[in-house]
Order: sequence, then C-alpha cells, then structure tokens
Amino acid sequence: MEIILKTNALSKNYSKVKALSELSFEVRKGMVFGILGPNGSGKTTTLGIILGVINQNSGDYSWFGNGMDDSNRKRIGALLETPNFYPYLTAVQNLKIVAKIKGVELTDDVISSILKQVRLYERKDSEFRTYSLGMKQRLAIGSALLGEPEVLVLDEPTNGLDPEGIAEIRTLIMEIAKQGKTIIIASHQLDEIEKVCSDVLIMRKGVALKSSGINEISDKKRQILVSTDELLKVENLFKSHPEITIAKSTATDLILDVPLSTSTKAINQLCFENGIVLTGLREVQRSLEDQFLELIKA
Amino acid sequence: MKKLLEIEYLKIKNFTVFKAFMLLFIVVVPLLFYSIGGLSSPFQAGKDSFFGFPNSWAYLLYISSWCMLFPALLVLILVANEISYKTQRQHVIDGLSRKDTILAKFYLVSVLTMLIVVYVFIVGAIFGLFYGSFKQIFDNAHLLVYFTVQTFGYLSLALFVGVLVKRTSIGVLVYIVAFLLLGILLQAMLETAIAQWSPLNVYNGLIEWPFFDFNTGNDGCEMKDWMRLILAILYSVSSVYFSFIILKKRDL
Repeated sequence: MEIILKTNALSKNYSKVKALSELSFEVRKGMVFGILGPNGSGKTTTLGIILGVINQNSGDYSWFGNGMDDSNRKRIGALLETPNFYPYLTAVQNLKIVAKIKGVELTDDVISSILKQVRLYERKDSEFRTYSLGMKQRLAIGSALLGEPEVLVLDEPTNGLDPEGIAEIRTLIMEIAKQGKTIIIASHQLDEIEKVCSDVLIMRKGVALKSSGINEISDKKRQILVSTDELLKVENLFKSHPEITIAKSTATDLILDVPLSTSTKAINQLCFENGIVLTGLREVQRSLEDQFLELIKA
Repeated sequence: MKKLLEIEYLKIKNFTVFKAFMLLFIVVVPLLFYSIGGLSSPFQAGKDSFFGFPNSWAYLLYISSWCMLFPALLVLILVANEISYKTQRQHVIDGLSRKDTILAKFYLVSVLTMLIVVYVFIVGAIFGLFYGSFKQIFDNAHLLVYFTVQTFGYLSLALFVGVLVKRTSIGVLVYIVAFLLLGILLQAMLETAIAQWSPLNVYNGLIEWPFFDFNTGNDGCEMKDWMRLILAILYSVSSVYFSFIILKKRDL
C-alpha cells in the first residue's frame, strides 16, 4: 500500500522538557491510524509538527512522498485540539474562508452537502459563537472534509463531548473511513481507538512504545482464566513453565498470559496430569486497554 | 495576492469592529478638521487659508495622522484576533504557508493605506475647492506622499505589535501608550538628537502642524525630510519583515 505519511526521528523540546524523542512511524493509504497515549505523551505535538504549525528540533516528515511542502496540506483535512473559526461569522461564512484557502469551488450544493453530513444545515446561518461544543466540533470536521481531502487528521475529536456527541462523531468518522479515506486520530481514549482504528501507535513521554495493527496488538497473547480451589498448586505448577505467566490473581481465579499456540485444552491437560482439579476454564479476550496499561507500566 | 486579499475581505466584511473603526475614522477626520478650522487661534491661519489650498493639506494631514489611531488599532485587533482565535494556525493547517499569513496582512495594510489616503485626499479636495482655488491643489501635495508613508508606518507597526504581543487587549494597550506617549517620553528622557530616531518620532515628524516645527532650532535635531522619509520606509519594511521572522520561528 502507498505510504501517505512517513516521519523520521522527529524530536521536539519545550525548553528543557523533551516532548518528542526520535519518533518514526508510517501511515499507509486507507488506514485508520490511531495515536494513543496518556495526556502529555506527545500526540498533539506530533500532529502539530506534521501539520506545519509546530517546528521540530530535528527529524523530518514527508506527506505523499513530497517532503514537508506547504501545498501538501491542501490534500489534508485536519482538526487540531479545538475547532478554530471566527466567532462572529456563520458556519457558511467560515467555510467560505476555508474553501478559499484550499482553492475549493464552494457552490451552494457543496455547502449543503457538507453541512448536512455534519448535521448543521439547520444552523448554517448562525454565528459560530452561538454553537455548542459538539456543534463546533462537527463544523470543524465538516471544514476538514472540504475539498474531499485524501487524509483526515483529527486530534481528540470527541474531547469534551457528551455521550450522544461522542457517538455522533464516532459514527461520522466510521462513515468517512468506509469511503476509503486515510484517517489519523490522536486520542487518550482507548475505546475510541479500539472502536474506530485499524492500526495504532502507542506513545508515552514522547516515545513510540509500539506500532502495529489493532488486532495484532490485542491478539499477540492469549489470556486464559483458571478457577480452582488449589490456586497455590497451580501457581507452583506454572513456575516451571516460563512461557506461561500469571497476569492477575484473585482468591479463586487466575488469569494466565499464554502464547497463542496454547489452548484451554492444553492447560486443562497440564493441570489434570499434575492432579489439579479445575472448577472453571475459559479464554479471556485481551483488550487494548490491557495491552496499553501493560506497555505504559513497562 | 488576489486570493489572499479575497480571504482578508471575507474575514472583515462582516466584522462589526472593522465597520465601527472605519466609520469612526471617516466621520472624525472631516469633523475634527472642520471644528479646528473654525477655531480662532494664534497657531493657525484664518479660516480661508486653513481650509484652502495649499495650507489645507498640512492641517488636514496632521489632524488625520492623529486619527490614524483608529485604523492602526483595527489592524492590531485583526492580527491579534487571528492568534487568539487560533485561526491563523488553522489557515496554516488548511494549506497557507506562514509567509502567506503575513503577506495577507501586509496586503491588507497596503490596501487600507491606499483607501485612507484616497479618502483624506477627497476630504481635502472638497474643503480646498470650497474655500480656495483649484489651481493650487497640488501645491504642498508632496505632503500626501509623506502621509502615505506615515499611514503605512503606523499600520505596519500595529501589525508588528499584534504579532509580537499576541493578546488583543494587551496589544491595544501597548499601541495606545506607544502612539500617544512613547514619542513624548523618549523626547523628554533622551536627547532630541537620539529620540528623533525612534520609529514613532520618525513617523510623527513626517507631518507637522505648519506653525510648529519641532525640528528646527538648536536642539541637536538635524534630520532632513528625505532622511526621515527613507527611515520611515525602512522601519515599516522592518516591521513587516520581523513580523514574518517571529511567525516563522514561533510554534503556532
């Protein structure tokens, strides 16, 4: 697949604070690429650099194989942090400015279609300052969609929204993704990334911890829940099997991290051969959250 | 250039502050000119000589230069608002270069300067024709060139302050203090020979009240008009250039 964005050892310092350290990653065409990390992990700084509004201290990036040229950004629709519009202008007037910058012919049909897509058509002539946060966010996404960009970059698109607003934005993103557009989303919300993204980059303190397909991240290990009255015996048994580790333990249950090749049947067999009677045995789906927390703690 | 000006026009055509400040300038200049011309003062000529050519240019342009505070504050508000609304950042994200964002404001300042000069010329011409003879309309008209440079200077300085200070309210305060007091303060604190080189004193000195010539006498002030004109242009170009440098180096 064609490489849409490639970053090479991007670094950024804010006086003595290192916000980004040698960050390299690739985004390919059609991906819904999530950048996941806790607050202060460098997500917005990364997006700010690739969108040309933050100057990196070292490293470089290339959009569409054309380097860092300003004209690349006309092929990108982006929302960075908060929606930024003129508060005294209406949605239509604000969109006209964006269209002029992007060199897009803004006919009434285009305006209607965009505003209907983001469900703001009824309020098209209201001033931006009168909008709720959700409406502002939706207008920003509508504006990012102007000119049918090849890539959409969204920074915390559901920040500050109520559950209904979050659901609306997610549906919108998934609809756009279905059209085959490449989307880059930065978020600290795991479920958002898990529900929407095909690939994920996990960051902490400006460093990339992991980058791969979302399923790959969730499925590299299997977790099996074991219930028994003889927990001590089970714990001792698995000490002699280094490929199996205990992820969590309660009074009656153990959650084991096992290689993908290890089935529940094999665990049952192993316990049976060692005289341990199990009262429960089932596979547990490892969530992105587990993986994320594991990486962050490491 | 056309595209950048069209973008600026879309921003200001529905901006109430723009309309208010421009209206204020349009109303205050002839009103002040007419009112001051009607006063009897030992520091000015009689009514016919005040409003008629060629003296009217000097009086009108001096009064207009004080009213330049309105368009200058307007430019400052427009620039600082772009930073506080983060629309300038969004424009860069949408595809403008940082250079384009400053060029757009430079073009705006240039167009505003032209419009102001044309308007003041029309006001002067109306008064001059009413009170005097058309034959002398272009006597002293070189002052219009000085006024053009002065106007561009005030507006480009406002652009620089807006970019530098970022916050609209602080920027407005800084500019008002600078516009009204800094020149006087520098004059009081420093030798005239030094203070005369400050940008605002250079701009202020381009158009003076005809009966006062602060730059004559034995006060060490030797700047010639042509030198002042070149210096004013240099300061204005520097204001725009350093605005660009700041914007280029700054994280938006």
